[in-house]
Amino acid sequence: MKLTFEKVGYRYPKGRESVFEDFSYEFEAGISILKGYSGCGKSTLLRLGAGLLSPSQGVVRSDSKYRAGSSAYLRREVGFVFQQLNLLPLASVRRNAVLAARFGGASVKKIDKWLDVLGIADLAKCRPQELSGGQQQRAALGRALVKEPRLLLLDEPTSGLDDKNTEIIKHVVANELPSGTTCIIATHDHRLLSLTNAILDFNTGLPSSEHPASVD
Amino acid sequence: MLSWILIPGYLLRNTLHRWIENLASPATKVMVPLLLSVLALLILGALRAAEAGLREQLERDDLRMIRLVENRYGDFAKNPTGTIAGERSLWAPYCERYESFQTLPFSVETRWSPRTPVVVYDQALSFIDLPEPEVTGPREILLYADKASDNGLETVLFQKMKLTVGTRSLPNPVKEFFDGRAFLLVPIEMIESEMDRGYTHIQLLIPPTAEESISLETKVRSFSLLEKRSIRTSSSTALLKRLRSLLDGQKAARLILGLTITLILSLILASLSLLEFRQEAYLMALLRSFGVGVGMLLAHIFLETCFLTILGVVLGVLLVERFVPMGMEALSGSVPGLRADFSQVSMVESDLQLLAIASVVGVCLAVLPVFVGLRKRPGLILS
Repeated sequence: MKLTFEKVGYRYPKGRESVFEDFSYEFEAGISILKGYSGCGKSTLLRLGAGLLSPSQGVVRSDSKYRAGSSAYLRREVGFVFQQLNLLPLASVRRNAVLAARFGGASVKKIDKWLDVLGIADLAKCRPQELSGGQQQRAALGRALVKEPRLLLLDEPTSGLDDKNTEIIKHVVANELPSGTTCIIATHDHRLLSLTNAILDFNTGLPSSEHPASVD
Repeated sequence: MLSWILIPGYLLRNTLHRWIENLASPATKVMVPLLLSVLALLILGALRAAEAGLREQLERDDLRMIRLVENRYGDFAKNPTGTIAGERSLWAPYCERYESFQTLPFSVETRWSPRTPVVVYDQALSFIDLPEPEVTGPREILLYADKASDNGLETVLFQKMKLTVGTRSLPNPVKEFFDGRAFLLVPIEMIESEMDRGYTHIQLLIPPTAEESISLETKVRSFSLLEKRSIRTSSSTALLKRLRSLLDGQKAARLILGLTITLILSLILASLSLLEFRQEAYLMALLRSFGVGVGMLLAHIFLETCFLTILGVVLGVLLVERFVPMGMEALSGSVPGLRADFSQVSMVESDLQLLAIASVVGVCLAVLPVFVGLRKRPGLILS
């Protein structure tokens, strides 16, 4: 999926300053990484990309047939893994995945495969509160992947995870994503930088048309 | 299709879990409509009992009755039969009951009073058994006296002549007009020539409804004014108007009560729903990030609030139906002034309709703040 930001700016309600202004960039299929210090606007950019926030200025476009931010767009096209509290607390890992797949119009046949790839097949019947942080993040990624989304957004997917869990997530993102998937990862974890060359560095300042984010 | 069942299914499970974890919240959502419905039904029952009392008053003949009294003398006193019949044809069509009779300017002596009034009657006095049409000749002279036996005989002194007349017990309203005193009833055919000297024409008009009574009195007054006649009118229309305004007041009271229930219910339910929504805000935002629409989430919250409110109202109705009359009856022996008859306090369809409408409107108003909250972009909550 192609996701385009055209002169996008965002200011939180009651916020005095914009998180960023006049940001323009086009995300192509493949993996892209947004890196930068905490609070620089990486997560905000992901939320704008999913349509969970509306830009204060500019436009976010995608080549999807659904309007960005609409229920159908989120249901069919987007898989979002948040930094924390991703899973429905009263449903098991498998149930979480089934709900996402069914609601996203995807098949439930591949659920077991994804849970197996992520190394949580034996935890399928566990509830989120019975899992560790790393297991929860893998379960959340599994739930996002069963929908086979065209746009996969990962917000600090390895934050607080050990090397083993980080490697599993890296492996899945690098090798298991269907072709044509646009995967955008917001992170300040250097362990993930080897996944791609498309890295937007927010450390150089707020991305804008005058000071565009660098792409290594 | 299954996907549209799974999400509501999860929401239902989440709701049940929330209820079990915090029982006070659903209990409050049930108790508030329960107590409000009990209070409303008792007030509505009391209002209805008062309304029934007012309607009973309005249905009373003597309240609807218009009395027309006119003194006739000179030329106007001539041809009394024709004039009386003319007036009867004028007013009788408006009436459920019409009575007319005349009093003469002289009296007779009876054992009850030396000055017993003489009343002339014709066929307009409907309660008197008239002879068959083929029977000719003068009809009976009758005496009404409260203490006289029905169909008995009495002797009266009429213009120094002793007459033996039959006695009758007469029904209202003529009896009331004479305040229970004795009077002699003479058929018009027997005394028409004496009436040329003057008489007082009395008409008692009883229209079928209170509204028609008020309207007819206006007609009579207009007629009297246009014809330049001195018809003295007396009626209870002022009281009828007051009773009618009290009935209108009842409608206003019901409306105010309905609005009050709606307001209290919506304020309390809105506070509770908003509180719960804030606790569930992250989950709601997470579900929206999956693509669950605002409509589905709002419908769930609406149905939850609606279910608890209806449960409360139904319990309230059952409570009033089963236990309130029992309790009141038990108290009636010990509390002075408390009536034991609670038949008027029983519920009617209109009370339940008012309660149902107030509850549904209250629930709709209560979920409005939640609707506003759900319109907030999920990205602002999932941060």
